[in-house]
Amino acid sequence: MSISILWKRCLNDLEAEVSPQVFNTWLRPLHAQIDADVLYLLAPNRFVMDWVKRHFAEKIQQKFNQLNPKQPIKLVFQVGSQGKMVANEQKPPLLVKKNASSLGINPAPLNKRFTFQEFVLGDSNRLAHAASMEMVQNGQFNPLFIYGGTGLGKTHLMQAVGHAVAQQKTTAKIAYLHSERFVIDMVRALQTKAINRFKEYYRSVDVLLIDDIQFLAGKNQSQEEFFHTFNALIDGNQQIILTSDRTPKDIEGLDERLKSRLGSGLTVNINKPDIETKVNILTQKALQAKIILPEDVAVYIAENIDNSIRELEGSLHRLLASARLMQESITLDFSRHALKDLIKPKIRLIHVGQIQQTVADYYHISVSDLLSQRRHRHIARPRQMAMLLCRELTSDNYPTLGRLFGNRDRTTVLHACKTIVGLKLTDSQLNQDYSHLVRLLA
Amino acid sequence: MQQLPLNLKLVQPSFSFANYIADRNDAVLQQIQAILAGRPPHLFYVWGDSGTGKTHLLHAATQWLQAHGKMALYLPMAQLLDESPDLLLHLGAVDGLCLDDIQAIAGKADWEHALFALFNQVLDLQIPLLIAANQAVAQLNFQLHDLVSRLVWGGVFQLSPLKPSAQEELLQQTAHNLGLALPAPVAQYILKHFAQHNSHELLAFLQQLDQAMLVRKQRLSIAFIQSQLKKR
Repeated sequence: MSISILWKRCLNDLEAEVSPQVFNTWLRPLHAQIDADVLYLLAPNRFVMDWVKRHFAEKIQQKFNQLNPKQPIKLVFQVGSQGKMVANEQKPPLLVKKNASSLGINPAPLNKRFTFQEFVLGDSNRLAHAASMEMVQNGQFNPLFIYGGTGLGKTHLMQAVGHAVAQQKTTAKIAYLHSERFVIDMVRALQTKAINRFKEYYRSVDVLLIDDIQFLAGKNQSQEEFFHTFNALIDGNQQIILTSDRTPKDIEGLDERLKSRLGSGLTVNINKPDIETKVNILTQKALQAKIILPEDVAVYIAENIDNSIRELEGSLHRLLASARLMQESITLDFSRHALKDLIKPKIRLIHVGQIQQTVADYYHISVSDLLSQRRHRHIARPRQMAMLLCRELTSDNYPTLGRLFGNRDRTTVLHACKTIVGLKLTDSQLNQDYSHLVRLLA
Repeated sequence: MQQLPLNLKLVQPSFSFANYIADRNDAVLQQIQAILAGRPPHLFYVWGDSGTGKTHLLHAATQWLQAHGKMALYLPMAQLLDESPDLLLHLGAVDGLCLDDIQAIAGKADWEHALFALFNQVLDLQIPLLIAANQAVAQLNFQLHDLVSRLVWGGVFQLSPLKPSAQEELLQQTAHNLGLALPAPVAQYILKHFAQHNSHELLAFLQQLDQAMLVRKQRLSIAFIQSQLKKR
């Protein structure tokens, strides 16, 4: 029996023995290549190869021995694809693009969108923005330390400085990386005896941008190296920007002298954005996708997504994708529907009386007018609106609501709800009133 | 003595977009395909109950990328817990990543940090990153807030269970792959009994039926199904 047939039988046996997930993930991607009595199993990358070797090498060898006891076959695992083997592949250092630096040093590319032009300014980030601009224009505040909660725009601002410097001086060497990358690169440089090249690289940059410096905490050797790199750059008048989720002195596990160095320039904070800034962010992000986001939709998302700008953007991505795929226009009602599992209605006990009062105030009439038998439109419409809101925001049924609205019949309430739902589609002013009232009551 | 069936089942087709029954999840399917084709954001988080098709979609995405000459990797996190989290930092050159069952690493500090580091690399390089879990991000109890904020960045999508008509289509498709003729009344009888179960359980029962028919050399009938249901 040829090795090729043996491999096919072996694969069939394995498919019957393992779950489809395991088979599809690890075994299906393998390609077999035969050379005399050697079977080369080619994996798409080292990661898959190592895993299959650890978990299946013995089993595959056993199967071959069982299927063909007279002909010993040598099994060799390699990285490669059909007809193409990668001989003696070096262990890749990191996830890198195929054309990445061969130095084993991996600063990340700057995100094209993280520029000053695309940064949305608000009270929460004005100081950090001004300090970053000042750094570009006059090289002041070195190092600049930006801190604040996750997903509030620290990385955007720091990279904006990188872009601006690169525009001013095209030959500028700008290195942006996360602090864990610094640690990983350094450990690898030590292992491969390339530490001098590592030091030389980081000490030769014009601008060093290090994100999330708090992750250096507890890594003493990396802190030591970073401390010396930091000093060399400051002495050489090269610029440093660092970000963190807290101030230098609050980072536990960081060497005291490093804390003091990190805080020796200017430390600025980015706070959570206010509603207005969030609305501006959403509007601008939508424009980047060539969509004009209605203001009421932007306000709705901004008021309900409170955690971070990333979450705000995530909600917008979800909304834009839903509208595009369902071929719907982006209205407040559609947005509520599309984001219903992200934005839960605020659970709050709300009473019919509160709704009646709010609606009466909104339309400048009294609650007794609302409950009266008067049928003039300027009273009847608010009454119908209040009935619909009560139906939607409370758990009271039609008969109860009828009773609470001046002892009316349940069919009157039902008719009122239908009337307002219908009018919302044709009367934009009434639709706007409805949205405002919902927001007032939320 | 019970005769064991010779395992001659037809080759299982791999998970692909073509054999994915989207039903109510068409928007999710289209969003994944748009991301793979290069539309920003490059990030996607999908969640749903067991049997809603998360693994199928992620495998299909990986295979789609591979078929287009890209180096894509599917990582089932629940299967990797015996490994060192550092493996996430040594993935080599990839053009796309699909991470399945990330709930498996929630609360495990070393894995969360490794995933965070991987995330930053992937986001910096703008490589498509598809993530699946059995719950929404907020319910997963991740300890690392920086990781949580990144997980939701590209938008969070939920997969809905299949409607009965789509479940029947799935049942028939799987039966066909097993070489099994499933008359409509029989399919409907099975579906009726599995109305409260997910697709995994439904298809597992179909496999059970297939094996039992081979062993007992019986034809598929409602009486036979009833006898098998009692054994569950």
